[in-house]
Parts: sequence; C-alpha cells; structure tokens
Amino acid sequence: MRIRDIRMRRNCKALHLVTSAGLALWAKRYSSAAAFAFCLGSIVSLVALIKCLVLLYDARLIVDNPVLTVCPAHVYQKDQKQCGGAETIVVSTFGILAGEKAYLWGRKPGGCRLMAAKLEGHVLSLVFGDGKSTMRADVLHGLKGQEEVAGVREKLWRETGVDLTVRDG
Amino acid sequence: MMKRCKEQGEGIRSVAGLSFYFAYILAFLFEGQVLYSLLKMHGANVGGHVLTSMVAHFAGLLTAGLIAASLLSPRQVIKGSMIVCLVATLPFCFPPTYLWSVSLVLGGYASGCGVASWGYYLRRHVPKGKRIGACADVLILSNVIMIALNVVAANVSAPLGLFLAMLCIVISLAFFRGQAGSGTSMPPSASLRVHESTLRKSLALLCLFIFVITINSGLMYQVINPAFQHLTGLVSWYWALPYIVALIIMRNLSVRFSKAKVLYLGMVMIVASFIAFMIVGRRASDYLVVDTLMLGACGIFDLFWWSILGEMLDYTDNPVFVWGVGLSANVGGVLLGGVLGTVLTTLRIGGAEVAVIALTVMFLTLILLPVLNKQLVSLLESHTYLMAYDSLNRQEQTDVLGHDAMYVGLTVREQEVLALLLQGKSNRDIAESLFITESTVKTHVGNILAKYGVKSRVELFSSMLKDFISL
Repeated sequence: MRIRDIRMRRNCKALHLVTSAGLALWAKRYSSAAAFAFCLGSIVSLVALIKCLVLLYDARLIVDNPVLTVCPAHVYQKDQKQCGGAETIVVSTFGILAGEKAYLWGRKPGGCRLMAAKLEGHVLSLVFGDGKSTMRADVLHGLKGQEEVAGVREKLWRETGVDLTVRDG
Repeated sequence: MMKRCKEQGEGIRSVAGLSFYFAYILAFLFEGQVLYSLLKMHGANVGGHVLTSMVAHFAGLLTAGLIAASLLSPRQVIKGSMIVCLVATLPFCFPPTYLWSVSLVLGGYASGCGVASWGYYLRRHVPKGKRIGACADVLILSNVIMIALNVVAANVSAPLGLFLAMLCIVISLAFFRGQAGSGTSMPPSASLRVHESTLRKSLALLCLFIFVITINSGLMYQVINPAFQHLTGLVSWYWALPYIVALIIMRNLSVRFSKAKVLYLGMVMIVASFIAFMIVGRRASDYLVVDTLMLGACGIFDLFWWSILGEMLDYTDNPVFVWGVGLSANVGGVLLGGVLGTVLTTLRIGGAEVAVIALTVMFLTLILLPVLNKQLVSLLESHTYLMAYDSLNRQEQTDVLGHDAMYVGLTVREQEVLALLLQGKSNRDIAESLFITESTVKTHVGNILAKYGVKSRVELFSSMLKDFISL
C-alpha cells in the first residue's frame, strides 16, 4: 500500500468521524437512542482515525528513510521500467512497510530493534525484536550484482548499526 | 580601544535617545498625564482615547519585528516612528476633532514600532553584561523626565506639557542622528544559534509571565489611581518616584545578591499594596503607602523582564521581534487589567474584591515563576555549553567525543546528528544539512537522548561536556 492510499483512508475515516459526530448532534433533538448510537459510531471512527494517523506517521517515517525498496513485479513500456502495480515493500532505517502493515524498529532503545540482517541467495532476512520476542521478515531483494549488495550493506550499517551478512545461496 | 570607546559612545547615545522618546510616550501616548490633562481641559472622552492609543501601541510593538525583517532597517523604523509621533502630536495643539483619534492611532502604532526597534541598538551597542544597566538607565531617565512633564501638565499648563513632550522627541532624534544600524538583520552572536524552539518556548513563557503580572498594573490604573485622583499635586510627582528608587536599587545590586529573592519581594509588595488599598483610607499618607508598594514592585518587575529580554537578544537574528513581542506582553497585560478595572468600577465593586482578584493573579504568577526559571536556565545553560564546545579546536572536539563511551554505541547517522546538535543547530537545520526529514531528525534525537539516559538537550550537553569544559 502506498502513502497515497493510507492518506485516502485517513481522509475517509476523518469524514466518517465528522459525519457521525454531526449526525449525533442532529439526532440529539429527536431521539436519544439514535444520538447515542451515532456517538458510539463517532468514538469508533475516532479510534480508527487515530490508528490510521499512527500508521501514516510510521509509514511516512519508513518511506522517507529507505534502505531497500523492493518491487515484486516490473512492467516495461518502451524500455521504461515501472512497478507492476503490486505493493512495494520498503526496508528502512525504522522498519519495514509491506502493504498496510508496518513493522517498526529503532524508534527507542529498549524497544524493538533490528538485530540481524542476512542475505542468502535471493532472500534478505531481517530479524527484529525487543529481546523478549523476535520476528523474522524474509524479503526477495531483487539486488543484482555485488555493487548493489555493497550499497545496501553500507546503508544498513550507517543507518541501523547492523552489519549485513552475505552468504552465497 | 578606540573601537570600544566608539561602541560605548553609541550605547550611551542610544540609551539617552530612547529615554527621551520613552518619556514622551509615558507622559503622553501611554496613559500619560499630558494626554489626560489635555482631554480633561477640552472635556473630551478620556477612556476611549487612552484605550485607542494603547491598543495601537500594542499593535506596533507586536508587528515591528515583521517590518524590521522585511521592509525597513531598525534605524529607519525608529527615526520614522519619531517623525510620525511628532506630526501626530500637532493636532493636539488645536481643539479636539476626529484628527485626535487618528493621531493617537498613528502615534501609538509608530511609537510601538520605535520602542521595539531599540532592541536592535541594545543588542548592537551594549555588551551582554551591561544590558541590565542600560535598561535600568532608560527606565530611570525616562521616568524622571516623565515626572517633570507630568508636573508641568498637571500643575502649570497642559499645552506647555505637550510642547515639552514634543521637544523630547526632537532631542531623541538628535541622539539617534548618525547612529549606526542600517542592516535589517543580525546573525546570532558567536555564530551560534540556540535551538529556535527553545528560544520560542522561553519567549512565550516570559511573555505569559509578563502578561499575567501586568494585569495588576492595569488594575492599578483603573481602580487605585482614580481613588486618589483628588490628590492631583502629590500624584503628579510622587507616582513614579518609588518606581525610580526600586530601579536604582536593582541596578546597583551586587551580582552575588539573589535576584530571585527580589522577585518574590516584588510579589509580596504587590499583594501588600492591594491589601493596603482595601484597608486604608484615601488620604495623602495612605496614597504614599499604597503607591510606594505598588510602584516599587513595578520597578522590580519591569527591570527583570527588560533585562531578560535583553539577554535573549543574542539568540536571535531578529532582535526587534523579540524585544517588541516581549514588551507587547507588558502592554497586553496592562490593557487586560485596564478592561478588568473598568468593569469593576462600572459594577461598583469594592476594594476587597479587587484585592482578591489581584491575589489570584499573584497566585498564577507564583505557579509560572519556577517553570519560567527552569526554561530560562535551560536556554542559558544550553547556550553556555555550546559556546564552550564551539571554542574548542577540532582536535579537542574530536577528543571530547572520543572519550565518550556512549558515543561509540551510536549509529553513524546518530553520530552525524549529534555532531550537528553540538553546533547548536535546530531540527530543521539538521534535516536540511543531512537531506532527511524533520521527523526523522526528531526520531534520531530521541534515540540519542534515550541512549545517553537524559531527557533534554541541555542534559545531553551537560553529560557529554561537563568533564571537559570548565564553565
């Protein structure tokens, strides 16, 4: 999912909130039950909006600090390469953005941090967690050649302090 | 040596020039006795005219920084404002017409811009350690001249008082003639800028403090002064005397004497003055007690915030803005206090209720004072550490960082951000330097602070530098 899509979702949720709040105020005159229902709807919209705002902030932070951007499919038109419309995956200083899911790290010491990064064959494995529990994300990196690998390795070290281990797979 | 003497001379001239200009404002435009006497002489509406002038003055102080930053130089602003004031005073030589209101608006606004522009001269010509003295000198001298003008206007002749007030502007123009000051902006001193957000927070907090405490001044003008208006002769010369005495004492206080204690004394004096107003009568001796307490406290507070604003001028490239906004809070508080006092007078509310309102204001001030103190200390400490770090040579700076165990635990990017933080750059400047976004910088700064186990930049600088830099 792109930032634009998250923004649209945010705008929809904001509109939903305003509509529910307006309807709650309007319904107050006629029926308490209806007003209460719309009020509940407003609260749900508000919670959803807040979650969307947090996702947007996190997504923005990830997208602004890319280490590696992976496009699952490429479409070529007149020798110009374009992303095939499928969701882009962004590996960043502060996490991974895959679709509408953002996995964050490096936001605060003691919190979730990137622990290890390994490149084996076509797969880039990233292990992150807070010490109590860990997760692993495997990404088809699409890197071609040692130069690109070295570039990602250098960027990853610079931004996160984690060294990329490269194994021929 | 020659250059220092020249700078001192420029400083003295700017102090003298502003003193005469400020005396004109205090005696005429800003609820001055000259204006009061003229309005009463012609039977004109006192309240409306005075309010008009004060609101215009407030607007001038608030917006002068914008004019000085974009349109005119501070020198042009201050001299232009004096000429406008001189011209705006002329209609008062004739019977009242609509021109009086127009002149008060123009004169009030222009004088606000003029006073704000003096911030530039204070920063340029008066060294940091001497600014409290310069501010005290302006306040003392201007009030002495104002007393003279008031005595003439109240006891001899209002038109003569007006003529002497206009003469003050001419004298002031003569002092500012030939003064340097053609630049429109000035970089922060020592090429170091304290974080803009810290400066803005400190200025906002100081303005809030000034605003709250000067509500009592406004109450004084509208409630206390009218109660003693039958003592015209005494009021005209004694009114500002305790203010001047307090300024002289504050100016000559030893550096070791705790100024914080004097501030608390000032608060006690304000509370005591309102309680005394509630209890005592309306004789001359009662006026002496109430006025001494109230105006003595005003002198303490006025010098306090003038000197704090003077110190802050080093942290900005628009001293006119900082000086103007700071003083506008003063006028704003007086305006609000005046409105409050007018409402109380209209509702015929007695001295006891007025004292309660004043005590409430003092209570708010007591809450604000420690917060303000913390913010100002943070601003000054931050500046001190950064100045000290900046004075080290490159090798010494590298050694400072090399000996820091925590520095090794930072990522390369975090080290880059830290290096720029130590140069005193704001988040925005760091973002521009590193070609990243401001929210990314904030995240990195948050991580750095957390890794060092501190909560603020000042604590960070202190933790990193205190072992290497003796302050």
